Amino acid sequence: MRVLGIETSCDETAVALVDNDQGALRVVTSLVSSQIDIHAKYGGIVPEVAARRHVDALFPLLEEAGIPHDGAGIDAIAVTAGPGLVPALRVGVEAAKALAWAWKKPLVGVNHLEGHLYSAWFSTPTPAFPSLALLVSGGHTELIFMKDHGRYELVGATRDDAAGEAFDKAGKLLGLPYPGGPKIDKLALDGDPSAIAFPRPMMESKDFDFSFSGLKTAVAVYVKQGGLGGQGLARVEDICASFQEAVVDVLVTKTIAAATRYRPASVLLSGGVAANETLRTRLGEAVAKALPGVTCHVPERAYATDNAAMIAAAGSFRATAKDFTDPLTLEADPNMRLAA
Amino acid sequence: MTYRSDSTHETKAIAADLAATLKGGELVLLDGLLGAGKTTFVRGMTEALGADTLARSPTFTVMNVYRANHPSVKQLVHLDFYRLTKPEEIHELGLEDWLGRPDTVVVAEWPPESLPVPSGTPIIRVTIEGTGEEPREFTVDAVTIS
Repeated sequence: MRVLGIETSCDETAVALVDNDQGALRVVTSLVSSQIDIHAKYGGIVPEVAARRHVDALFPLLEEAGIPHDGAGIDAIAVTAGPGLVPALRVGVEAAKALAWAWKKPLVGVNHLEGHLYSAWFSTPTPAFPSLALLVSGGHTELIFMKDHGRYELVGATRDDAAGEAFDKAGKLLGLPYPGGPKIDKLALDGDPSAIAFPRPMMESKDFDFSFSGLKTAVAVYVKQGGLGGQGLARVEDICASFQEAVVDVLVTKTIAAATRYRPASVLLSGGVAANETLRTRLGEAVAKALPGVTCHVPERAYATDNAAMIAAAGSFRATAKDFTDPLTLEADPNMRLAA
Repeated sequence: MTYRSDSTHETKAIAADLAATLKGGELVLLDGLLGAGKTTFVRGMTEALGADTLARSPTFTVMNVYRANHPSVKQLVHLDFYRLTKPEEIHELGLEDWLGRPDTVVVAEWPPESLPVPSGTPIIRVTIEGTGEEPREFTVDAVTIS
């Protein structure tokens, strides 16, 4: 089955073609607008939150991806229906509806978060169910128990800021240029993670929720007070390493705690922050040590950040289960939920 | 009016008091530095308005809509302009659907200079002084543009 994926939930416009051969996935093509200088006049790679950008980028991307104008060879269309920004989501949703109608092909409205979980299916071996997924991005930080394709239970979530946002704001407080996350990741490689004992919020709580706004405040206080006890600021590499250590520590510890309770066959890492080197390594090590027999799946970086291949992947499994959406009634849903 | 807060709890109480005065149609602008307590303030408002979900930071999502359980306010639209740097971005959000709507309260963190607000919309500006471990001082001013 060949599925066309379309993603326009927030900043990024993305299209992809993915083949699903009885559960084995192959990415035929995957394009993301911020990585392609389609409109040089807009300049820069700082993504913009503008529906106009999606309108301008979507059809050129479909052309660039070589999508046949008559939809030949495509068995289904998968589009992100939510969550996200309505004006942005609508561009992809309405285009997908129109294509589904014109090509007389079935349509699947996909949850953006579900798409992120499926990024694990582009690597082999694919995860065995049930899976416990840590989904970490700029906008989301959640632990999700995936019992089977399409069956999810929310285990825990952030109560305030997402981990990706914590990285971005810490970066800003440290005077680093956009994007903060990758910059901190890079600087941290040369830093001492135990230089500053930043707090690990909610580390000991019995639930599987997270909180990162207190950590943001700790970095702000540290910078404002000129270091601990006014001793002076540590090297930026050390501050980055220590901050990152606090975030990774909390994420990994609570994921292992949740896995110990839920007993999955596999642990998945997903979302844009899954690109973080330290998190990828540390989670793998922790799973190997604390959960013998449980596999750990870390996605390829290209599929961790927002993309349409993951949407096509999720859509292909829904299509396999004949879980289609009516193209006449599909609507963008800014609050689309993954699970009750 | 100014109010002092020494804790998250007190910040939420100040926000709840403000929420008690709202009828729907208002725009609340929140000014304060990183970590001042803007999202915490919104959480206090949404809890007071009987929202069905927890108010989380909209920095990356840009707009969160929470359903309220209140006689006249049906939803609270929580905006965050932290990531938006260009005027086009602001005008592409479809805010005209929400601003001034009688059954909606709109709250904006990091508000820009101009929002497409219908004239006569009650605007409440909340300015938060202080960050980190300092006490916070909330200044609440009501403005209505005619």
